Amino acid sequence: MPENKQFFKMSFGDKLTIIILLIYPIIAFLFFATDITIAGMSFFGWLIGFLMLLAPVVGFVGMYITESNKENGS
Amino acid sequence: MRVEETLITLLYLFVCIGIGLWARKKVKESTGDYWVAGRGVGIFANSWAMMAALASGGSVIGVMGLAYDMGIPYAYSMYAGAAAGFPMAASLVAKQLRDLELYTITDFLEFRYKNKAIEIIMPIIVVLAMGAYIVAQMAAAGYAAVYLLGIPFHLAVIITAIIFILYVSIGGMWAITYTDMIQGIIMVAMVILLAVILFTEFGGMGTIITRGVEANPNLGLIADVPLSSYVGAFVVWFIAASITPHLVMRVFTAKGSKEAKLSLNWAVVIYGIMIVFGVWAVASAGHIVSPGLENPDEVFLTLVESYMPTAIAGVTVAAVMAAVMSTTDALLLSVSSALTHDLYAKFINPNATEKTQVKIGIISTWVIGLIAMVFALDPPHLITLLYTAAIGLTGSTFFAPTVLGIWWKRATTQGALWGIIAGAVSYLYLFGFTDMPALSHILVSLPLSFVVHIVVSLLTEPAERDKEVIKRLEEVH
Repeated sequence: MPENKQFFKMSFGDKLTIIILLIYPIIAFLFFATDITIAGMSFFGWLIGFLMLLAPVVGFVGMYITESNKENGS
Repeated sequence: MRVEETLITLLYLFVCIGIGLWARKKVKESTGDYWVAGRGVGIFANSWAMMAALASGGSVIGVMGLAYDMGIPYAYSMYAGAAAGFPMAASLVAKQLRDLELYTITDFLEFRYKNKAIEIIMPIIVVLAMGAYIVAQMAAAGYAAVYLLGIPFHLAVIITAIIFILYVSIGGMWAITYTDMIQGIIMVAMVILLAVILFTEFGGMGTIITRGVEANPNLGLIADVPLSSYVGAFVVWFIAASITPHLVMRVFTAKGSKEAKLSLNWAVVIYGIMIVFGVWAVASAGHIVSPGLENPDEVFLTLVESYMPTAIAGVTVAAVMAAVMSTTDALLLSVSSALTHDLYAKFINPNATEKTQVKIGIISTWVIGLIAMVFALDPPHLITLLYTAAIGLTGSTFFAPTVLGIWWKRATTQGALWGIIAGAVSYLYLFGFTDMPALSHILVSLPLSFVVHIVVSLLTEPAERDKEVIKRLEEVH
């Protein structure tokens, strides 16, 4: 694969982390105007609250993938 | 005056000063120890210190009051940006910034773009923006002490401010790291303990929120605030961890880049658990037992007084003070490093020895701290707006040149300079002279900063020195 002259290469794990952390909030905000509620709280509230617990897990998984790929030399 | 709470708080404050005195021995003559703790902080201490620097008084008292008043979804969306921003910073900037072995974010911009105007503009923005933040936190410390200890506001501000300044100035980053670690543990332990007590008392996690919503249906609904405010608040805090000086400086203190990334992720594990379950329990129980509080910020302390064992309630006073102090001390050091490391040592006295720089660091900490204290004694009415603007301004100014500088080889000095100016000026204009919804200004200024940076970079040629810079960046990617 030719070297990218414009950008430095980002590891797959870091790319995955950033993509999930960008897409998840967009999906959550799509439910902003809906009336769906669970146990009295809006679905948007549950989604955005869950992000606080999900975000570090995504970060750890991304780091694990990056480290594994590094060890495998890929 | 409440004797038990006062004694526990005094004991806690003496511990902070003691740590400052212990750290003094380590930082006497070395700028590396004073500003970045010798780059020797492990994952455990750094994670707690990062979490504590992020979690200000607002994260313990303010977020509970916000959820009680505006509903849980509003509070969650304000704080979720910060929680998601830490893992993003770990992937986007942590490795490169740590491995370049710098002291401040301005150091990176100097290394990447080498431009006098940028090198002068950036520390000035840090001093102004973080200075406003310090005033807000010192005033918050005063209000907390008035409510919790029953002492006069002016006395509370003076005592707490002098203690911050004392241990930051004598112990530098080592003092901040260990005091923040202790402060973080105390505040999380108290919030989680209260949440567990409330969940048990009100029949479990599902029951408490159902009962809370029955007491006030708005608790679970989206507040009547424009979508752009929600998104803007999320974005401001989402990018903060990557560029806000008092958070980024913890990346520079880590033992290595892997440790920096792990610390950022562990910090959010702690922070996320504290905010999600703390807000869930306190806002719900607040509406069940104390509906219609005139001051929503009192909901946390009202429940502490009602449900926490008496002996532990005293420690909660220390926890609230800890939340305020852990953010303020980090801010104080970041402003002091901007003045000393970024301005004094580079422009005023480039031949200054490390010993002289540490001395100037101590003096500048006292000067900034005392000036902030004077403003905090009579805080401006718009202090909350100023503090929000401070974070938004740093984001609009620093984020594009930092991220593009790390990842885009074609980013040029002229692109960075005009991107910085576009971000800062547009943010200040929109904030000060338009009626845009609160917190939404960054939704215009941040993309504008990126666009200007990219367009001007493409229209200008990279400088000759950029080849060397790109070569060095290759080594840390």
